Amino acid sequence: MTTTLPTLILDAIAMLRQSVSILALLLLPVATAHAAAEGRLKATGGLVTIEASAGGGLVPWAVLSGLSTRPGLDVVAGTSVTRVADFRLETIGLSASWNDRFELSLGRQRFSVDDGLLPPGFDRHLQQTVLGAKLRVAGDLIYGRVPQLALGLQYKRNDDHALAGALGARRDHDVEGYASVTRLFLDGPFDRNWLLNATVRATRANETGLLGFGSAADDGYALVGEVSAAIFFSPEFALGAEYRQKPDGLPGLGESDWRDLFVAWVPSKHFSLAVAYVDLGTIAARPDQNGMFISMTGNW
Amino acid sequence: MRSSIAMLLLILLSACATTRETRLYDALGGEAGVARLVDAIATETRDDVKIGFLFEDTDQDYFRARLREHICQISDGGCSYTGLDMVEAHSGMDLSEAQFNDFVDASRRAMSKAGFAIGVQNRLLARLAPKRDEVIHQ
Repeated sequence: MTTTLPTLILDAIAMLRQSVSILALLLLPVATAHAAAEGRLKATGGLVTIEASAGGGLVPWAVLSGLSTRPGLDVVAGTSVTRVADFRLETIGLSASWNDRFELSLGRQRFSVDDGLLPPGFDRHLQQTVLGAKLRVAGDLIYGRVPQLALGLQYKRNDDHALAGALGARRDHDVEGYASVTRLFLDGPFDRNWLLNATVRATRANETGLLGFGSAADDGYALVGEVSAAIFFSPEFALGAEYRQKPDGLPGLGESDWRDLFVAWVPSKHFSLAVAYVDLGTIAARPDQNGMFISMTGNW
Repeated sequence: MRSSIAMLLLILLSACATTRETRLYDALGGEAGVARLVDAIATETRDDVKIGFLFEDTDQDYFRARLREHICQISDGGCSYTGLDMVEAHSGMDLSEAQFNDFVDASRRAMSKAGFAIGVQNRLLARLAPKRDEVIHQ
């Protein structure tokens, strides 16, 4: 696919429309059942990541979804669409957080391979469920001396193991653990607030689990680092970047680290939108997987 | 792509990095600026639907005078704050984290309405934030 500006814009509009309708569907039942809890400052609940945990687009942060303090319950929904040269990833995520302390999340991902790239007999849609739990163990995103620290688990399960298995993946489900530390630095360079996050994850996922877990040759956990940094030009607008290290477990596929450059718009405590340029490198031996990512998050 | 991103970053950052007044007090506009700031914040918080009730029994003239001193002091304006310390001033109120954040939200709104630039707002809020533990749960 050659990406020209008009096709990119058309793609973005289509992605936005899809995200809006999915988000509306997800939030409709939630909105009627739950009253607003918004004791925290805007944007401090992050976005719903592609794996449904609160964070940036690709990287989980130590923040908990929603904006509740203690006592409080938040229900958050998010959706994202990523379009790169040969693939498309659509995600929806739901999460609930209690007392700014504990978060449970459920994500569904659909990874679609463009027509004609797969041998006959394989479904071109790979789907995965991600069940997440996150516990804030220390510190605070903004206040006090200690930055916010959280520990998380993600249980991932593939719907169908056929393609991943054929590529050499050993398992169709697995558990990953991560630790994240996140801080919003007030009045950083340029008199702006800066968000910095570092995450360490223990994983044996191939392409975040979309291509299964482990391989015949390598079935051990790898420790990978994931970072996000963003500058808030105002409380409503942030510009940031993320880098997500990934193992390269399946032989011959040349799995890459992922990175993105995003703009986030947070017009209210109930809605946020992020648009990113993503560079997913090589996926399944197909190089130059660059494109666009759109993510929306709503909380009630 | 890479160079255009770098260019964009440069433009955005230079737009923020306007000539910086070294002293926050001067950036706030000196005595008149601080007075305008305090009036904006005191009015916005008093009228706030969530935390306005906290100021129902407040002597607004006294409160504004002390807040002017306090902000003058922490912005290096050379004043001395003559009121109660932060713990004493909030004792018995048992303010929650949410109420503290509501105060921050209302202050931001007030400062934006009064025309204070985001950078100046950030500088001031960064100096007020460390006081949170002396304010909440007292």
